Amino acid sequence: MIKRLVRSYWRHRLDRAVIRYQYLTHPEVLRLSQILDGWILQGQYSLARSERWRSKLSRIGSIARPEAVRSQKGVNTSMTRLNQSHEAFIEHIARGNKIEATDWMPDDYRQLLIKQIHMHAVSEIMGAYPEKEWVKYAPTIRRKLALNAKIQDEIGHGQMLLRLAEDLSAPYGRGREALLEDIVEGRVKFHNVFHMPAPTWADAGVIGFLVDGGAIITQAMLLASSYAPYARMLKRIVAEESFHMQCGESVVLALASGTAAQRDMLQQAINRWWPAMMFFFGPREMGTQSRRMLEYRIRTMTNEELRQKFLARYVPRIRALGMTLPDPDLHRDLDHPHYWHYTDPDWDAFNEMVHHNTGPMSQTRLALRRGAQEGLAWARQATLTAHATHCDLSATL
Amino acid sequence: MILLSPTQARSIQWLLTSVADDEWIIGHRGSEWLAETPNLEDDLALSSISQDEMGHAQLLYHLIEGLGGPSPDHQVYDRPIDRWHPAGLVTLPRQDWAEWVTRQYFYEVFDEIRRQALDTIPFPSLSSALLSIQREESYHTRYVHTQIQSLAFGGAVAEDHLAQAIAVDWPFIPSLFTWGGDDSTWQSLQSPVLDPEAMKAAFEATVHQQFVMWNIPWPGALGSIAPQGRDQCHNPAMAQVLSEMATVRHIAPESGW
Repeated sequence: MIKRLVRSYWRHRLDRAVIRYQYLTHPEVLRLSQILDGWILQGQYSLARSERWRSKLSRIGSIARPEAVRSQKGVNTSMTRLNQSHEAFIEHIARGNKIEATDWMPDDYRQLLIKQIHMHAVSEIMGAYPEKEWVKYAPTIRRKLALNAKIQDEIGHGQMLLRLAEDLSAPYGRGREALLEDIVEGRVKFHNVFHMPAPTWADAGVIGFLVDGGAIITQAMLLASSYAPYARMLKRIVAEESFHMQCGESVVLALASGTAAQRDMLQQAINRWWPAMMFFFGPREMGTQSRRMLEYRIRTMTNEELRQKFLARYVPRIRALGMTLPDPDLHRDLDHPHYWHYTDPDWDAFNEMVHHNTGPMSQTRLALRRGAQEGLAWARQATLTAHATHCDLSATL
Repeated sequence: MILLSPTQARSIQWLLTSVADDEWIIGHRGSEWLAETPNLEDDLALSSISQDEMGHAQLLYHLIEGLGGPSPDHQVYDRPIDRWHPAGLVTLPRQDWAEWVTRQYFYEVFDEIRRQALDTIPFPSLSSALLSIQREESYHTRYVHTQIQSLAFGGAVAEDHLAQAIAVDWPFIPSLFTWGGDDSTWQSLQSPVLDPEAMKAAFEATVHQQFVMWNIPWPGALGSIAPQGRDQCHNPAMAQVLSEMATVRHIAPESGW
């Protein structure tokens, strides 16, 4: 009787929460999660139904750890395909097999994927802001349309990647709204380069040339990722990024072959972005999580391998333009000509910037994101309300 | 091949300048919303719309160039403000999201009426351009209809935003119906549907019907069409837009960018 009352109470709370999610407080969500897990373990409640509820509650935040529940119940469909042990999983991906979203995966594999893909998505979205600043100043019609299209692509990448992160986060009850809130709440990092100022038109070109060029190197490596949905999505992203790099390269070439003022503007921009690009690929010694990602073949190259690839590609190109690089120690190793020596960026300063959003432009750009996320929450709510009350809006056209 | 008289060619240049300026400025204003809309999907749609509008402007500036005008880039970056003729509505500085949706809705309704009127001009290059433009505009209309219905049926808060937006935009709507130049420009093309009063009547009929369908209160009769109404755009906000657009280019005006 008491159990029935408790269940009835929570169902009532949950029903209200689905309609007006703000009725449920965070401690209530956690309590609800525990109760749901208990019911599932006791076979009193279907996992599918609880997942639907978790999904609807995604705005409130993370609830429970469903992997534990899944494992105990043995409900995963991939049980017949994979022995659910870490060793078997490692062996499976070592043979070059890919993991699909519905396959069983260790908790830490899922969490590493969420961290990687969430950060990637957020970096694409936050990367729109430095270039957006230059759309209204674009000096020709062609440049203006190209820059608009490039920014649109970046947001599109962010949107697609968030869908992957949403799928992976579904067992944790986290959806789009929660993943986007993480940006403005400072719970997810984005690439160091997007914390930096872009004070001239040359910066808009250099972002395309160097940042997108660097991103292509990183993302091309991820094409071999063990997580199949990510690898598939990256095919399209890398193809588009190569257009972006060409757009940036075209701006850079125009400036390099322009007047002294244009060349000076370009040189200043290269000087500004170079140290940030050295940081872009991560520390020389990879951290525990990055090494774990290598083990899981989520990524397939080290930070240093990626940075060396970037240096090999860009140092000769920049010098061929008659531009200099702001690193007096930049040179090829005498014994190993494929290895470039370079000056370390200020790791501590960049780390501080990325972890605490303390870069020169971090807060300005986060304020723009906050305006869309929080300031226009009413408009998202209006869309939901309108669709709920007028199921097919287009029918009234 | 149809040969235009010098008077007709001049009139078409005037008309197309108004249209192209509207398209360019609304595209430019739209790009100010990049990455700042309520949903990532809105960012994608709005960005496409802005690119389309500026692309249409570029196409029309090319037609003007073919009629003896300057190059499209020159028209965008080097034209003094007193030779620009966008409608006051499209030049309004960025405001609330609901205002942007409403502005786009009014503009799309009007633009369709205007395209139909322009299609009566016997100028094959223009007809071909309009056909290409129409293919893209139909998607814009679908998008803004969905958006405005979200505001109309989206609850009390959204309704408030919508009412305020309509109140802001409504006084600027008559500026849409005028053409660049004086009345003799459109009259010389001998097509009654180019008459600003005819376009205004068609606009009111369409919007009224849709407002009834969407339960949006009718804001009252539109104001009268002021002669030379497009000169309304010669204001500080428009001056700022033009100044911003030319900032980089004018660092090295003779150089490639």
